[in-house]
Amino acid sequence: MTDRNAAPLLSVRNLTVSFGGPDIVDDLSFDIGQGEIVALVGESGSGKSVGSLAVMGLLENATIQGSACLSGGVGSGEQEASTELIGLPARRLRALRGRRISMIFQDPLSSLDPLQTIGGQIREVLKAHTRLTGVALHSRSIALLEQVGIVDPEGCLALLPQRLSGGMRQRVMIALAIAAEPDLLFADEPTTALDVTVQAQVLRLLKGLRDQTGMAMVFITHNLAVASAIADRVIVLYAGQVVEDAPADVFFRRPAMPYSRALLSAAPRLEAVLAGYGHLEAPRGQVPSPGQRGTACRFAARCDDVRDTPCLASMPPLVSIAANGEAHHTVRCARWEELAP
Amino acid sequence: MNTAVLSVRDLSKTYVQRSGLFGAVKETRAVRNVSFDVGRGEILGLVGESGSGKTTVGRMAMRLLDATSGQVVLSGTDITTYSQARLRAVRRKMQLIFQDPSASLNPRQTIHRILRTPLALRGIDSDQDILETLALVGMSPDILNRTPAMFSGGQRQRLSIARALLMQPELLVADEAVSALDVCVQAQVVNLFVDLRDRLGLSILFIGHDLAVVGVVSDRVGVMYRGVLVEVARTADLFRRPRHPYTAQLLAAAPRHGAPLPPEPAPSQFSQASGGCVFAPLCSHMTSECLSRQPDLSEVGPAHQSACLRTELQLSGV
Repeated sequence: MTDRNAAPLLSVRNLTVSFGGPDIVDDLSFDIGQGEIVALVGESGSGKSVGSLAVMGLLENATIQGSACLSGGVGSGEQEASTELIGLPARRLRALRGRRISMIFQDPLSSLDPLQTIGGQIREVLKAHTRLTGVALHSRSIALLEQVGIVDPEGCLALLPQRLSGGMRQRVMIALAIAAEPDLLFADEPTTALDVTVQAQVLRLLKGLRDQTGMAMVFITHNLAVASAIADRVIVLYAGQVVEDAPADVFFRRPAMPYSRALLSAAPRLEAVLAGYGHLEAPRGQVPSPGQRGTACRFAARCDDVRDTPCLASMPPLVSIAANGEAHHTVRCARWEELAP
Repeated sequence: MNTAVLSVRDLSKTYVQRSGLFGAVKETRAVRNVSFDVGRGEILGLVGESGSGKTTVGRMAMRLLDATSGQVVLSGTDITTYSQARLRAVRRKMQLIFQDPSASLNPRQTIHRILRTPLALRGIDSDQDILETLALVGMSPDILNRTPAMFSGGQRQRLSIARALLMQPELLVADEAVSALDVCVQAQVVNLFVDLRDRLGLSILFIGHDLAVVGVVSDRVGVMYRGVLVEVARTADLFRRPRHPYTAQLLAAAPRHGAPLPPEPAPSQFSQASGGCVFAPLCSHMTSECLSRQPDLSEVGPAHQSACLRTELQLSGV
């Protein structure tokens, strides 16, 4: 699925975002490979949504520094040049959205037009990105709804969004987002508002679409179990920084950053219930707010493994801990080597 | 665990809708014949998806909503038909914790004022109880002069729990009380509920949609589907060996750390089941008998009840 040697589809470097005050997102760097599903995981205030919105050019009144480079796609048979997304004029961003990058959000109802039928909304998107008309336009609309697993696509076209269940609305949103066959889909908590059985269906759908189309995905979530179900790679954000970036199978077997371990043990698990635990391991305290992050390791105050040196001496850099030949794995912890299991 | 603090019997809620003056009457059965007990010092989890009726059950148990039929018994007293005036006297014994604590804490009042209100209702002047309760929920006493806006979501939830505790309740009804919290804070508040059960002998009806969260706190778990309580059992029994196909489907659909997504469940061959089992249209184990009636909740094992005719099924759990 993912070729780590090929140039990444999206390369974010030193992305810093503020809204006139302290930095919300601080020196964010990560890559998304072609066809790769990457979960951006973090608690509220970690910067996972703000960072993604900055890359998509959807933040207003924000000061954004750094770079987000989208590699060239194959548009109309020719290789396009790569594009710097940060600072791109609105007109050029609009041209990229839908066709190269697309997005879905937690609440599909707020992204769908309540007064227009599903068919009308799909036609609008298809007209903006393709030259389809008449019968071809109609059959493409039907095909899209079939692709996202809607059983009666013909009937669905005539409905208003309010007539659909939450899961069906999210499917329609996904159909709209993939209508122009984008290379990269940002999905911001797309299953958080859904019931667990519907959530499993939507996760299966998104993963299936990637397998079919090779579309890469940035999956933003606070839920590690959901990340585990869908992601090839997990990037953990804490207080505006990347603190660990690892292949999903490595991450869930042996997370290297103490915060990653804390997140995993704080999450309630079905298996733990069986073992009869009436208790969850929770790190003390809370995430520092943007103005109170200090110059040392930002997790230090909550970390059981904290030492004056090196943890409180300076900000640990994000370092690669992958052995030769192993997949990309970075961690921001000065003691990772001592703490390795 | 010998005496029930809360008993609900055959609780039902039916909403009647008439389309037009002489139009057809449409009945929506939001809750159907639900019965369960919450023992002293016990946490009973109630889990279900949206529209399952779990919140409606909680509200009827609190007598915040009138039941269409059935009984609510609080510590041996039938309060089903109590008037508002008589209810006021017993309400103190049961307290509700909501999902969004900021909506239930007055933003203009200091924490001291918010926490004084329940004490004033009990006719107590001293602040001793406030200090003890703050310690119990893990908050420092120097926060009393602040307002709710100065606290995070997890701290506000601790404060609303503190306020409820100051009424000295016998029963807490926690409705999605940790659902909006981040995972680390959620874990802290989950631990707090378990701690309150252990230290105060409090009984808790813990309503939620997340099986893992509900499972971690609860001694026993009840599963609701479309208004029907389909299964109740001790938590480990329910997770290890579910007896109702819906419970098994819920367990299978929950994403797990380091596990792939489960395959799509096989759909039933029948699509219509009016009058039959509520889960029949989606059940892969359905037979023609399932279409004839909704089975009652009945004993299928020690302290294990299920509302499925096919008691012989071997369903897989966690």
